[in-house]
Amino acid sequence: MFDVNTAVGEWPFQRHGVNTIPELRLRLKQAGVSGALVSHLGCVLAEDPLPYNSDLFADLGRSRKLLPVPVVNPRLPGWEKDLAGLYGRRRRPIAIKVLPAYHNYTLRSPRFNELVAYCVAHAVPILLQLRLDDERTRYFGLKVRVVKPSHVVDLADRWPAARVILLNAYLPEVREIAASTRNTWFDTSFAEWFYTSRLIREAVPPGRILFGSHTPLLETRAAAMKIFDGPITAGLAQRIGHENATKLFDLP
Amino acid sequence: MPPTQSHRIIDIHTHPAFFQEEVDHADVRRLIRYGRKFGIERMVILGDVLRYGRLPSASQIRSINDQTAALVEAYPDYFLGFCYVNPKLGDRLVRKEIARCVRLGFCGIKLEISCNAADRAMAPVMEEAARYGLPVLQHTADQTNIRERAFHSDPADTATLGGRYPEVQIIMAHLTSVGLRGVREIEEYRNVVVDTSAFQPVAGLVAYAVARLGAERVVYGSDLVIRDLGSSVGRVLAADISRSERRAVLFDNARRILRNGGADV
Repeated sequence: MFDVNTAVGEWPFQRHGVNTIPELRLRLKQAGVSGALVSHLGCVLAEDPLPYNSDLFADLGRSRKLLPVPVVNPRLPGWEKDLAGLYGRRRRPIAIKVLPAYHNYTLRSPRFNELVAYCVAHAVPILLQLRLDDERTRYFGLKVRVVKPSHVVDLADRWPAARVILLNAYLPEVREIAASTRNTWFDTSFAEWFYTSRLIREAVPPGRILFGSHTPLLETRAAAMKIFDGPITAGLAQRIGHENATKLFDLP
Repeated sequence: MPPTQSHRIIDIHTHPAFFQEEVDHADVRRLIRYGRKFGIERMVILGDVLRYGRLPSASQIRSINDQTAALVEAYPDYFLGFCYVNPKLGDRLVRKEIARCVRLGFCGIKLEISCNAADRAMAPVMEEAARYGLPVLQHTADQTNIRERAFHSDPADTATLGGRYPEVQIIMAHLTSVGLRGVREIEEYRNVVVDTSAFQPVAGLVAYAVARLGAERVVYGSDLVIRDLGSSVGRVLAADISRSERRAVLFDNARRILRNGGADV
């Protein structure tokens, strides 16, 4: 199983017990996850994500199973130079994660669109994290802008060559965005109703669904059981479990 | 991962009919098979509680409870029924409906968002619960962001209810929506347990509840069909608790509560 939505590091609103890479590796292994895209939770609330990205890249080293994904805040000038510092001039990121709701920009902002242009030019998929938690139980002092599905549809329309992966979308959002776009993919972490795997399949073409657990903020095993213990064919389980991610992220 | 089927489970929080006046029995049989796949031996039906909105009339309440009774009658080895009531209908109608539900064989009472748990309108409900020995399952959610406390119960309100009626077994619904504060709100009220249903499987929450309340005060629930069973069962299987604590959460506690309510479980 390959997980496209994991992170490591402290989150001030929840003690989750995955503050280090070995702890993340163990949590994933206990749920049968063998590989994952990993970001650093410290990037979410920090104005400058670079120090946390750097820590993550240093901690993961040359890991072939856990692959670091840098968070980029496009409002900060110089992000391209930061990426070059992480990857060198010749390698491209496997993906870039953005959090517009937490970094205070819209999907129409010029600086974000410069980032999209970079991703299109370098064939880098964009992980667009819509939220990290349920709005109803969010810490009262944390005010986070909502990314509307219509804005995601607009983004996908304006950038048909961009590959946008929506993380932590609720099932109604998945339905709305998938119905109007062709260049979007969806992780499974927040979409839920009875028979989740069947409902996601009805909403999204099978090649555009990716397993995502939202570890460590959600229980990895529960996220896996929701999809793979549900009414799902072996073929679809393989596609969601790893084949789609392998193709999209050009995994080894 | 250990196989799910090795666990015995009772699901104390389900809504097999959801905004449905008529149920499709093929769907129900499929649901039961799906439940059994996860090791769920019995499910408690709480009723299609929002079908008529927040304040159902007496006839609407009867319709909802009749549907529950019909499902229990059709699948007696699998379903158990809780009696849904709207406390705002008043003393006479509330007592009458609970008495009717007891005759139908129901083994608990379900409260949604007709009124806040701390509302004085709850008195006849709780008096009848005490009289028949029925557990009361109260929908609860942290109202800090939801802001509907006039009728929607915060965990502090459910704790107040527990303090007023220590002789009644209360099940505070929705561990994830009451959160850490919800666990602490009920901590001193030994007659209040929390069910694990609803929202996302937030990491660490089941273990936190078990550590603060003791395993005997945490009860498995899914909130089916609003949530999936994999997510609901998985959050308990993933919790950092002992084997005996897990068994208590998934099965023993619900069996104890339901037996006390008169169910043959």
